[in-house]
Amino acid sequence: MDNIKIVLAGQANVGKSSLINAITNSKLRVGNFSGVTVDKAEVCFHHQSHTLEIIDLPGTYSIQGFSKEEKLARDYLQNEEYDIILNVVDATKLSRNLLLSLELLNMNKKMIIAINMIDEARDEGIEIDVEQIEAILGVSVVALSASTKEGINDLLDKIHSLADKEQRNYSNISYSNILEEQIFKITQFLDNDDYSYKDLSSREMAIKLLNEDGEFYKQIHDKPIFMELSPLLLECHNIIHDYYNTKSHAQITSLEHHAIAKGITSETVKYTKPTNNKSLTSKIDDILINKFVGVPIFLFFMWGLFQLTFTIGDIPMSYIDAGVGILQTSIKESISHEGLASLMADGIVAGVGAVLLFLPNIIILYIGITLLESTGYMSRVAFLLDGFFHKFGLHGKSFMPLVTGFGCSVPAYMATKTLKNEKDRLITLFIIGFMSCGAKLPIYVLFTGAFFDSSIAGNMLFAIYIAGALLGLVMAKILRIFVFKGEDEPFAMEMPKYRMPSVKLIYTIVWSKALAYIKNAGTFIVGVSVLIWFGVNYPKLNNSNEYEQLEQSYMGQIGKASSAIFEPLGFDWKLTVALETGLVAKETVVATLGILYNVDDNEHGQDKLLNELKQNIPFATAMAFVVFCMIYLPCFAASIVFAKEAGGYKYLGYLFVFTTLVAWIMSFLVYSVINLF
Amino acid sequence: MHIKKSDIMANMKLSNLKEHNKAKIKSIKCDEELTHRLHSFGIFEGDELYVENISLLHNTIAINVDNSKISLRLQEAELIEVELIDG
Repeated sequence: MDNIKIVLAGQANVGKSSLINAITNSKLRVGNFSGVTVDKAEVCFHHQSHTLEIIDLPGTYSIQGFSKEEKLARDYLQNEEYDIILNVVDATKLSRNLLLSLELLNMNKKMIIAINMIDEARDEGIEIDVEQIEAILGVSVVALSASTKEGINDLLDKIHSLADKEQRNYSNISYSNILEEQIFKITQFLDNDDYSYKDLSSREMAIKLLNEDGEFYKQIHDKPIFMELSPLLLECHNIIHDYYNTKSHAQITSLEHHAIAKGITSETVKYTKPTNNKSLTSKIDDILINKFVGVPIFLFFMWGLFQLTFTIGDIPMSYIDAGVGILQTSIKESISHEGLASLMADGIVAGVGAVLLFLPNIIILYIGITLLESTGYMSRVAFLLDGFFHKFGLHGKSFMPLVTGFGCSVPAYMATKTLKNEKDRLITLFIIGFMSCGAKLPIYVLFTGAFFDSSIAGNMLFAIYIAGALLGLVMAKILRIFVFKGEDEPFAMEMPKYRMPSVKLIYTIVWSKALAYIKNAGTFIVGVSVLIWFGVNYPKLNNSNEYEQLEQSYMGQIGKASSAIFEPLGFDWKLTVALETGLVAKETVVATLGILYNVDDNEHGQDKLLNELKQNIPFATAMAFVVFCMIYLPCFAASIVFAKEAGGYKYLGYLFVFTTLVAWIMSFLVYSVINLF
Repeated sequence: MHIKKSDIMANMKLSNLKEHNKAKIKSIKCDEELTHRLHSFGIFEGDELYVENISLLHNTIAINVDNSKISLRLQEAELIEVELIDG
């Protein structure tokens, strides 16, 4: 069975994912193999005794540009082995989409152009002469619609016949006169010398030389022909540079392509309806990004999504929690070896439970994010909020992950994927922890309850959350100035037409994200869970109570050993150990304090613990402890997801140093200032 | 007091425009990276643009060029010189 490898390239929002969905139908096998940060999706399926393998490149407007995604796409197209480039274009924005098609043609590979959303174009009164475009470009062109499946079979047939062809077609596009003259001179020179390279025509080689294509240049540079060629080339370059008044090849190429694209569209595209009518998208935008109501409407949407995530999400979470509890008890009952039972129940099952526990939230939140992105609303969010967030060195799209951080850091870290710029994404990742997650609430409730009158405890709780968020924004600015230095990447972004995504598309995206989380983070989370279980339970003491066991365990020993570091903050070893166990999950801090202050875990336990803390811990120390909890490293599940999203475990190291330092300094300040009074 | 119309026109930037203004792009005066980015969005010298939305604090601006809607920060809009078109 023959394998056809297809590279899917296209600008953002042209419906590449929908097209994959439409052609692969139900026999879908989506695999994620990630590049450094950008995922290249890979899909395999069978059609007419061929295996089609589709590599989905990130959506880029150009492949000549400077952004990471553009470089990634360019490198892939230049260096990897594949059979066909499938270029997806938007029928309603043909002229702009052709700019990329023209760049792709310069790759000199077998290529098919799929003009997607032809149904939408028809509705807008846009008529496209497909055969004429085919004649001008010299590659196969198919008009289709991924949503109605019109033209999909036609596309598959063309893929097969093109793959079976011995040779590709040469493109017929012609450049401006000035450029054509130079191409002609060089072509003639190459022909006279009978020079050949791979399957390139002399014209294609001439264009490569004029574009200073690195690979081809290197190839011809060592040949004897280059001696005579190089003065000619220099002359040609000078003529072009003088004409365009720039030496930037990228710029000259875009100007040339712009002219060609305009030419093609004026010959092949007809508008049968008057275009001065306001489009539906503009009408919607007049409300959704209105100066005054735009932000309130967005906040309402966010509130809704948040409510959904953490109320509906709570239902399966409590079932998972209960299920894990039942499983743990039954394991302990059925396995007689105490150590083994404990490892299974408290190490492995607890770890698997931790992985599953976050899944409902991740799924609901991702449905929300996918909806926001695929309808086109997300870019509006960036438009609305960028003014505020840019002041802190963040991006308009940072809002989404940051707010999610108040619920849970795990989905929040995953939500940073919507940020395309690496600096923006990293800064956002680093400050998400400052947005106190739901699991820190029990700590705050305990301490505000113990040290403040009940009438103001609620306000104090609120103040803690706000203080954390503000500190996070300040930290973002500091990181931007001192760590992630340099010019901002320009904020220029398309606001795509509003579209309703298909349920199947949302399902596919959400499912692949959920799987990626389980595969990438899940195994590590279970591993670390076992490690922590070991730290708390060993060395095993005989005939000891919980208090002694924890005190003597490796975790307790580390706590005692490191308590010197925390002495300036007024923390004793008990608080230090509580902080350390908080790395498991923030709720654990309260449980650990309960054990260390010998309070039973029953109904009155909380009140008793409250009193114990009040009597044993000075006010300044308590406040410093709250501040430390607010800032320091998130739980290990979140930490692992952080490392995955940031692009490596070294970033987790940076996060550890960063959060611990900031937490220590802020706690020290709080402790010292309170002690002044 | 008589301000020549051509004087104002000469220094008109995209950032000076108001919502619903129509203009023609005279020049794009920024570095290679941003120029390339704008080009890849289909924004070229000589093209016509229409200002669709401006955010409340005047930080971001959304323009329509050749049926595409593009949003820019004001800092970037300052680098684009335009000429107002009546109507």
